[in-house]
Amino acid sequence: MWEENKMAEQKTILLVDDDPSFLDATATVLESFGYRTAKALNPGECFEFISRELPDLIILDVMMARLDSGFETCRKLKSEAKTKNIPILMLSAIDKKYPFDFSSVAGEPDWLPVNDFVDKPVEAMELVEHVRRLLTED
Amino acid sequence: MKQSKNLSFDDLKRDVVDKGLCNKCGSCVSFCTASRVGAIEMCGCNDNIPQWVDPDKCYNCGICYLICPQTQDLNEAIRDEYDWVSPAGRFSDIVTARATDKEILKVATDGGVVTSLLLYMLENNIIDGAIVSRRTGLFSREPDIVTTREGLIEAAGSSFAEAQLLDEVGQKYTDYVPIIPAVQLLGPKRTIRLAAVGTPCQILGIRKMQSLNILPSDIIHFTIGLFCMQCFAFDNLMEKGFIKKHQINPVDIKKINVKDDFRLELGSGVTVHIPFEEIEDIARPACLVCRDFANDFADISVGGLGSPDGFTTAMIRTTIAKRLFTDALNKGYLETTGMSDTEKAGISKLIGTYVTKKQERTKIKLEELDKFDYIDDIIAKTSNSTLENTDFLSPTDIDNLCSECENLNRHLSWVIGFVSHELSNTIGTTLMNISALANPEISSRITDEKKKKMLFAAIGSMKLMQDMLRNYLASSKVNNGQLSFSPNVIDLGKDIIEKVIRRLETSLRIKEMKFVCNNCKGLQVECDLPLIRICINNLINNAIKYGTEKTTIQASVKEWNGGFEFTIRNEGIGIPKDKLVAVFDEFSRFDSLGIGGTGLGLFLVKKIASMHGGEIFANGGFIIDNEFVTYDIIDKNPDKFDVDFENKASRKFATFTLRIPGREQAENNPKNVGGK
Repeated sequence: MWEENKMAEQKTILLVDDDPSFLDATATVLESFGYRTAKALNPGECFEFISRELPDLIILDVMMARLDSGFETCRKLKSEAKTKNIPILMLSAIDKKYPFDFSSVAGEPDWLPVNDFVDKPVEAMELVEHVRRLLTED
Repeated sequence: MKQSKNLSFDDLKRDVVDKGLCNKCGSCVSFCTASRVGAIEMCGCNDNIPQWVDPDKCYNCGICYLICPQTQDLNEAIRDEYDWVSPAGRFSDIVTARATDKEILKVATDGGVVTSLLLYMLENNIIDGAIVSRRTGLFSREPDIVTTREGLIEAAGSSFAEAQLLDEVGQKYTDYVPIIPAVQLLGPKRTIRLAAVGTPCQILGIRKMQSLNILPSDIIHFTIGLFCMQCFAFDNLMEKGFIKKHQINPVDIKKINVKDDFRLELGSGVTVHIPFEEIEDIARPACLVCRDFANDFADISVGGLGSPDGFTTAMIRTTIAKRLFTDALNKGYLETTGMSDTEKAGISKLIGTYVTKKQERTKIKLEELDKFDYIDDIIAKTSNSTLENTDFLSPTDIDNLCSECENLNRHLSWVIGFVSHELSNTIGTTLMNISALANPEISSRITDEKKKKMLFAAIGSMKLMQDMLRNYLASSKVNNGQLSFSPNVIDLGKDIIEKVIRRLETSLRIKEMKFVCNNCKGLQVECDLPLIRICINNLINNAIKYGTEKTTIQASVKEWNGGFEFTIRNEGIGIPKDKLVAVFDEFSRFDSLGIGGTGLGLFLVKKIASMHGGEIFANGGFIIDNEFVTYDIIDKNPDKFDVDFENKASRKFATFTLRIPGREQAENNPKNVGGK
């Protein structure tokens, strides 16, 4: 199940998180800045949306059905030609606590090809700033 | 016979595992793994019993139950299939034999018939491998598949000389290695032909699997059964009282054997003979309720009983066994003593007396089990003697303790991950909402209506977190037996339901849901108010959390058994038909949407209901033409209700019924799980 909010022509952000309340809150905040949002409650819904439409940015939670669902999802996204250029913002503290090598290559165990991280829980404005930065770079 | 579709591992756990009757053969796990279901596993802990690994994967096929050697459902069919006769099963011949290979004789427990027969089959391309128990450490063995002469000989006895300790000696007779899981070592390769050597329970497990034509028994082409009075845990053999009584120095034991009694051959050359009755205390509890001594359903049964030292008695049962044994003789792998019919009848009679002995023991033990929960007593006694009555921990104790610690650590890590995830979600939602409202740059862009929703969402998340913490604390108390229980007379509607609804009003408003309760007012009941409040809160909270937006939650209260029955029904993600029982398990999750929760809410409701002598059960189904139709009704009327169970768009519902009896009725049927 995913929902689209009708603010066409803006950049589309796909929110992937297993908590509907968090998705609602994040969508409200991002929409207030003019972004169009779509919501996915799990990796399956994420890929279902992407099969029909490519978002400009994906905000992805690490821990969903499994504790590493987000890792698997971003690796899959970055290994497919169709989706590899979509920037990913991962919601996790792993940049500080885990020794991932972001310059590693596909197939290596420490390969984690995300574009940016932000701690979860995150304040609304901090998330907006990360989003702005990624979409500007894009 | 029970219908397999109504059985699951929960039934096996209740009827066998929890009663201490599991013989750890691994049949149940082997099938579940070979069929790529993966719902259960051997726990790897001290007891090494099967346990749930993922109940969600269970299809409720019931096969784990049916193939268990300790259940009775398939026994009659197996007896019919093998044309069983009393007392020791059907056999066409009985012989005394030994290997001709001196290398095998050197390491064999008796005459080396098992190893020679396997070698003959390997070298003549009758089998591709044999399942044996292979030494893996000082005190441990594990099942393995060997395909060479060297492997067979190594498994047969080379470890005797290396370690000179009990567990490596006479393994086939005295210690127990679950052989069936070894088949998993083959991975996807299914064309291999194997022979299996096992105790009666192991062979019966294989036969049951073969009778149902299920994996992985399809690749076992020949079975060699061992005579078996009982198996031992190494720890039990090292029990201090036992060693002292029989004046044994454990490090001096060179060999264990079972003939007409239990024999320990010492390095000094002395053989200690111990009557079977005296070793019951150190036997595995499951063995004491096993009836099969002569391995009645194997192709060929072997053991030392009835033959002179250095020879093996073999009961040749099946046509294939007769052909292979004769061929092995003709090809010089084996030799026999040549016995008269009278001598054969004598051995047969002797075996019959041991069959009777074992069956009589089983009968007595089963009667004691019924009366005194005997197996629990044995387990407690043996575990106490190992860990408390000895002066030091044996290496096996240490291995087991380490293994148990590792399991506990893994579980703890999982629980921490689970709790962190849920707390992170609730705090994440609260922080996102509150920080947005508090930031002028953001709040100025949001409409008043949305601000209100964000505020409600933040409050809802905080309440969810409060519920989570309450459930975690209560669950911890339940597990420690510290949850206090103080029933008083209360007004169920006024004191609990109304208050819970007021508390959850925000959550209802966020999802635009309604709560309607029939007959909720005015019923006086005697119960523990804070505990029943947790139940009602968790049930209503669940209905909101897993309910569909803009729908109505229907609840009702009625008098039941001097107490009350509270029923709640909501439209939403429903409960899968096969999860109606598992939904009450600790840390159970079944929602495909990934909606968060403590994983303890319903577990606690069940525990609290039990403390009151009550019960909770779940039901579910589909909403068809605005009619709530339960799974049972759909099953009974397949023509009327054509339901696509996989269709995500189908409207589903869940119902929970909580029944709490009056105190008088509950005291007549106490089920308290917590302390008072």
